[in-house]
Amino acid sequence: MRPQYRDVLEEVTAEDLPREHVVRRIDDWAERIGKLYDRISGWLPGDIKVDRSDTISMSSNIMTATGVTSRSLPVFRGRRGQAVALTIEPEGLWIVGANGRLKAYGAGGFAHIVDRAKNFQQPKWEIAFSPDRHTGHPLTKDTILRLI
Amino acid sequence: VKRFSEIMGAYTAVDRWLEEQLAEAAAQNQPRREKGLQSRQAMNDHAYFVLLFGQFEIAVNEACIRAIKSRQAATNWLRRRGWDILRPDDRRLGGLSFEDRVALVLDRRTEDYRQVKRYYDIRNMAAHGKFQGDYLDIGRVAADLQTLFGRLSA
Repeated sequence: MRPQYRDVLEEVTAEDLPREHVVRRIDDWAERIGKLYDRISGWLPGDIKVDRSDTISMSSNIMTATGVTSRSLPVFRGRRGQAVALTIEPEGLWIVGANGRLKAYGAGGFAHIVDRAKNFQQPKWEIAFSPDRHTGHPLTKDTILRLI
Repeated sequence: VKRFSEIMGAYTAVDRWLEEQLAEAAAQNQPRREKGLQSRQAMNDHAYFVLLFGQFEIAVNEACIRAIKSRQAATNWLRRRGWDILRPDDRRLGGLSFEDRVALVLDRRTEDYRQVKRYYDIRNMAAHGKFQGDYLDIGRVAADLQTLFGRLSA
């Protein structure tokens, strides 16, 4: 029976991680990011306009080892006029102890948004404010607005 | 895991400093500096993970020694016989691999055992610069190791 790879620890220590699994995980990551950005867009004040046109290249050792090419992922920028009020950028998917992490920052501070769910489960987003990046808080409108 | 808290205290102090630098670099739009700081954070995570895992290894060895000595003290040979060949006072209990030492204090057929084995693989990857993932979340990993420590059975 095909292994399920329930979390990143299982993936990173797998003998032969199938290429199709890695591609599926990247697709899922891109989808989770898209939905996260949608949710956060809905929490921002009306004078902040969201721009997702910038991208960042996603590449990692797991992708190289399984022959998967790099992928572009969107960067979130909330602009108030010419000024950028909030930036959110993917940091990595294969994080032992998490299921993907993004960094988020604005005039109010710097934070990491982390998914604590198992692979292919409903995301459990948390936010941890710098410099204490190991204490997570629920991701809510209030916690996001602290960054602006 | 006697020095676990001490190691986590040292880790947190360094990590907070790096995190403050990272926040400053992001605020000042310095992507190259940010990238360099993230690499340092990752390196720091790996180094402290190896230290934390070292404490876990000590805990496994201590549990093994307790298990072996208590079984060898049994007067009933049926209870003692499998344990008599082990040498609790020798280094690595007489040459047992880490996996075999873990199997003396955790059931090899359980998920806990497999979890320890995976973290041991990560420890070896981190120590030899061959980690395949993006990052280690030290807060979660340390909590996992402490849970597994509580499951060791002498």
